[in-house]
Amino acid sequence: MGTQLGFDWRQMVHSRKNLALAGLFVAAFIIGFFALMWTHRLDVGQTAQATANAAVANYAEYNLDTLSKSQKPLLANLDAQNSATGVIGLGIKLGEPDTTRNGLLSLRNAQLAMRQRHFKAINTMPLPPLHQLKGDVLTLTRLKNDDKPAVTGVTTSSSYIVTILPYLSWLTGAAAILLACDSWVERRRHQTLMTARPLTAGVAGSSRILTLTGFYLLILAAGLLAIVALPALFNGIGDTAYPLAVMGKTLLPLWQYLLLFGGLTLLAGIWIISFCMLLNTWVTNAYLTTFIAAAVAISPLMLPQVFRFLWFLPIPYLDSYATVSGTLIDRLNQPLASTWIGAGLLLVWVIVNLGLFGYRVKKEVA
Amino acid sequence: MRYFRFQLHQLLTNRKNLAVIGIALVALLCQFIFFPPNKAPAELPTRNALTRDRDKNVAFVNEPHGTLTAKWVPATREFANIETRMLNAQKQQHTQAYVKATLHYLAFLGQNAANPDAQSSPFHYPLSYYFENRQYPDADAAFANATMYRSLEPLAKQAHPDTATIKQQTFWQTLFRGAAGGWLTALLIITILFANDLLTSEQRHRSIARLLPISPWHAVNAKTFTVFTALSGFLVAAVAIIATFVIPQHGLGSLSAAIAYYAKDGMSIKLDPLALGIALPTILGLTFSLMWLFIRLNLLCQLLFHNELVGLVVSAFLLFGEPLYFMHGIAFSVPQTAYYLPGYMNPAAIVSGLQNFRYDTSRMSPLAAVVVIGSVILMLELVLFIVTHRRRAAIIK
Repeated sequence: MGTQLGFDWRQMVHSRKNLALAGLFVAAFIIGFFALMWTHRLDVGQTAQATANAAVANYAEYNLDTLSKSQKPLLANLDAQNSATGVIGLGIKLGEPDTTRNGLLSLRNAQLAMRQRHFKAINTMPLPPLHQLKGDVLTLTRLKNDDKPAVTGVTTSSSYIVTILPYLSWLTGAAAILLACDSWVERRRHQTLMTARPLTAGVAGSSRILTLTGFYLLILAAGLLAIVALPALFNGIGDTAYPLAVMGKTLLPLWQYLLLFGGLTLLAGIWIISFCMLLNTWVTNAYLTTFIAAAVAISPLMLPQVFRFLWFLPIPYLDSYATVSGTLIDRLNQPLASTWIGAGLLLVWVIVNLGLFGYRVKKEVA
Repeated sequence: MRYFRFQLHQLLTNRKNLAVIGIALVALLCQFIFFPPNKAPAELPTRNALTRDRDKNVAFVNEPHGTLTAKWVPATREFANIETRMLNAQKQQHTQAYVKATLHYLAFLGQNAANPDAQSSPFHYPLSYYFENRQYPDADAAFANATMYRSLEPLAKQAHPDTATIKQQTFWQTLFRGAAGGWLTALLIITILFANDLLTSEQRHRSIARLLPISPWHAVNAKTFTVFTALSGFLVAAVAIIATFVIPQHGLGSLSAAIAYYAKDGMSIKLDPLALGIALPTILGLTFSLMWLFIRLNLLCQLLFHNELVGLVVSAFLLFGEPLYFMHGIAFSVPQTAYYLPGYMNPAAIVSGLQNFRYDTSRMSPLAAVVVIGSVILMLELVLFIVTHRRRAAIIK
């Protein structure tokens, strides 16, 4: 087993595709940092401005002198959102992070009220999902009590991580798919050599998945290093105890949150790897495997209504940020799509994948 | 010629290429069935929305006012009149009157909506611009308002303007709107995917490929024309599909229908009308030059690096790299960024002046596109010529 592991590892590390993948993964974080720092694309100031414009436009829909009793709270809410964005803008302009944080808290409170009371303007205002808002309110209240600034843009390492967390699963998922797309197909290039070795299918398969997981972990670690080291060179590491909310209810400091998030990402990656290996026993083409795996992984975004009923499949939980923050519940409109259920389902389906894989490979000569 | 036919056969029987074409055509069909690209624009409100707004405005005019809101009464009365004229023209199906009333409607909104001095202004641009989390929805909505005005102006002089032309739904207008919406980017992605393994796929038959009595320069050119031929066929098929979906319902439309070309020189904004008969061929020409650029770029990367990844990564950077250095904003763009190649990847945005609008300039004209793309193509041709004429040059290792 040890020899097989060593052999598989060397094959993995010598594959030009895998090395290119590792390089591109790290490069994406480096380029992303500079792009976000220069263009301020995900900054709080931009999103607040969008909300302000929407609030003013919605406000103009109503005739102020003939408001009915039910419309008054809605207009008060639009007013609150609009003035909160003004406070945020003021805080940014004057360079006062406390003011910005307080304005952001008022904005999130007003948006949460709009979500919870199902105001009519919900379809014409850019509102974050419900659990995201609950989590943000918890985070900002805690920051206000501790008198610490909120993350408003990409400057330090911690602010970089917090800003890109919702988008990380795209990169890590793509990396896992591209890594594993030819996992069981590579062997076919040297069929006679492969069949001549005295190995059972079980040993070959488990060694393959172990080395793939190891390489995936290595890529994730390299990415994390880039995320932490690069901003630290310019602006320092920042606040490693920044509170983030899990499922919109519990607050965790950033490093603990990253452990949970990293664990879920690793589990999702292992599921993708085992799924690709299983696909490879049917579809012996790496490109087709990539395409099918990518289509399967994106399907919950295309058809959230279908996955409301298919919540027991592991596919919706591949989006680690949505699972951990609870926005998956809002996306699928399914209260059962929580973090622990997601982790449990991913684990169960990894075992199912491996079982099916073992069954398929028994028929094949190892 | 025989080599060209051989390469064309290889290209069209390659399973990857067939899959790409298949997915593209299916996606086009799905787009027309589920997300029609030629819905009536948001600037032209539906009858229900218009009636609701008109009734709200009439109610506002008729009630008693204090000093704060009295200043809005004359403007609201005028707006309600315009909306009533639009509704009556719609009901009587008098299209010329509808166009004239709509021109007044658009001009009124252009002057009074998103007024920074008035928080309680009862006038606003279509709400769909505010929902999508755009950074500057007022500016985008004002741009769309002004360009719609320019498109409708010539129709007001016709006795019976066509409804489909007013709603920008005819075949030629759909081609333009689709081109601005992403069809051209999809075409360039298909080009990159086709050209990506033109040379590396022959590494499987190394001895045969190296023994063919063809110079590398000839082989590279023949392959370029092969991809061009195949993609022209695909383009014809795609246009045929678009025609079958659009023409029976909305008609062919006239090539003299106008779009607007935006340019900003210092403080003055120019919004000149541009006939589709000129705009569409310009877009086609720029698209062909971009396709040539990507094919030659991929061929060069394969010649130099003998793998497909480098070409893919470089092409992706060119095609999607604009957000890495540009963000729509006041005083954001440095003068030189107007000449970077990634900003010229959407020919429809260049021809309609949308890039000028985003960069707040007048420099990104179709002529500038020809110069920028042309100079990059010239450089690529030079390097390709040198690489294929080296002493031991061959198309594969």
